[in-house]
Amino acid sequence: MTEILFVHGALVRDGDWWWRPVAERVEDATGVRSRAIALPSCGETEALAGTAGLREDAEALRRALDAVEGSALVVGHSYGGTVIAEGADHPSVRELMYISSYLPEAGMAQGAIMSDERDPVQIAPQEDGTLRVDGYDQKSFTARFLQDVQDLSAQAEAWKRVTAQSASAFVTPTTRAAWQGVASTYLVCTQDRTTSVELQRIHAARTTRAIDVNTGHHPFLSRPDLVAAELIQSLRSWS
Amino acid sequence: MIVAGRPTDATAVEQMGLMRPLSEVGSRSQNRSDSTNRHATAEQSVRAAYAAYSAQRLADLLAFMTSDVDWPDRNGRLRGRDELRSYWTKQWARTRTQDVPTAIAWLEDAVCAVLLDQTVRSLDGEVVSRARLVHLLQLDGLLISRLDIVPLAQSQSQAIPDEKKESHT
Repeated sequence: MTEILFVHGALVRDGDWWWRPVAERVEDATGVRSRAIALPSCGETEALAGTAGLREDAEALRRALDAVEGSALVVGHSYGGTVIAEGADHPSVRELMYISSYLPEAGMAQGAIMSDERDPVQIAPQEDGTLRVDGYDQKSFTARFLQDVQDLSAQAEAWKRVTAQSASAFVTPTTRAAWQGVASTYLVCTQDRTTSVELQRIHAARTTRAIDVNTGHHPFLSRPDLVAAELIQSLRSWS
Repeated sequence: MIVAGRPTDATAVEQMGLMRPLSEVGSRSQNRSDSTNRHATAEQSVRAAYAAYSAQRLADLLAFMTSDVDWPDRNGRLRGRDELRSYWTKQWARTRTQDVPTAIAWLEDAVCAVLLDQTVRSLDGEVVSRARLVHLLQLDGLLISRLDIVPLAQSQSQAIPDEKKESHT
């Protein structure tokens, strides 16, 4: 049985909510079901705040892949791509999809991947070994990350899901590059205000197929139809 | 601190044991309370070292290093405090660099990774570059024995203008 696994980005929680508009469209069209990975580094498991990082996130993805009976299409948003690099080296993986994300080589860390961004997201350390976005309220967060999401309730719900994340998720070097040798698609978000298009294109060049979408950082909220269409196309190409 | 965030070779990271599969790298649950206290003390020391670097207090900074400290310098390595003294003296004749650690996380018992925001200024205060970097520090007690910079991807570093590749630290 084919399954889609979604890996969300940094400093947020509740992947089920972020991916639902896309997941429902894909399931309606193809019958393929999906799961969102709960990332320990974002406090989505029993792990104490600040104690789980990239290692644990990758292990969570690996465990989810172990449970796939058939083939998996793994989708990563932003930091989710780094989790894929570390955790998707698995026989169930048939294809990968990236959305404004990263395909790091072994030995890289999320913090370094973003090293040369002109306007990096301001983050602040907490007492418990976690980091949070710093200096944002719902309005400014929306303006940067969700400027093309028209649904006001979705904007509010997204802001509620911004959370702290272990610092180790940002600084732990990868030891694998699981994207190598796997069919992959990259959605370049050309209106993204947080990950530059230039940086996206560098990483998109490592995939086997890259597509521009005229969206901000979260096309699965602003244009779930576009993201779903690409997933549906990939799934149908398998048969 | 130091090398402007340009890549070191991946073998340097490998030598620190960080290229092994993460699942095989040390148990994090062992002696957690002891290590937590030790790491808290070490983190204070590391932050003090970065503060000394940013303030260009050379003697203070060198006091945080082991006598045989191993340090990146573009494609080569520096060894020992004397080489570092010379290196920083030359560097500080050209630039003023602020390295502000945002977060420190422990990858192994004596290896921590530092997420930092770096601002390099010319001597007249003009900003030359800004970057967010990850440094890997090997510690011997409270002293720094080795530093490596987590590299950018090759193609990513190639996309950086040549003038930014210059060692300005």
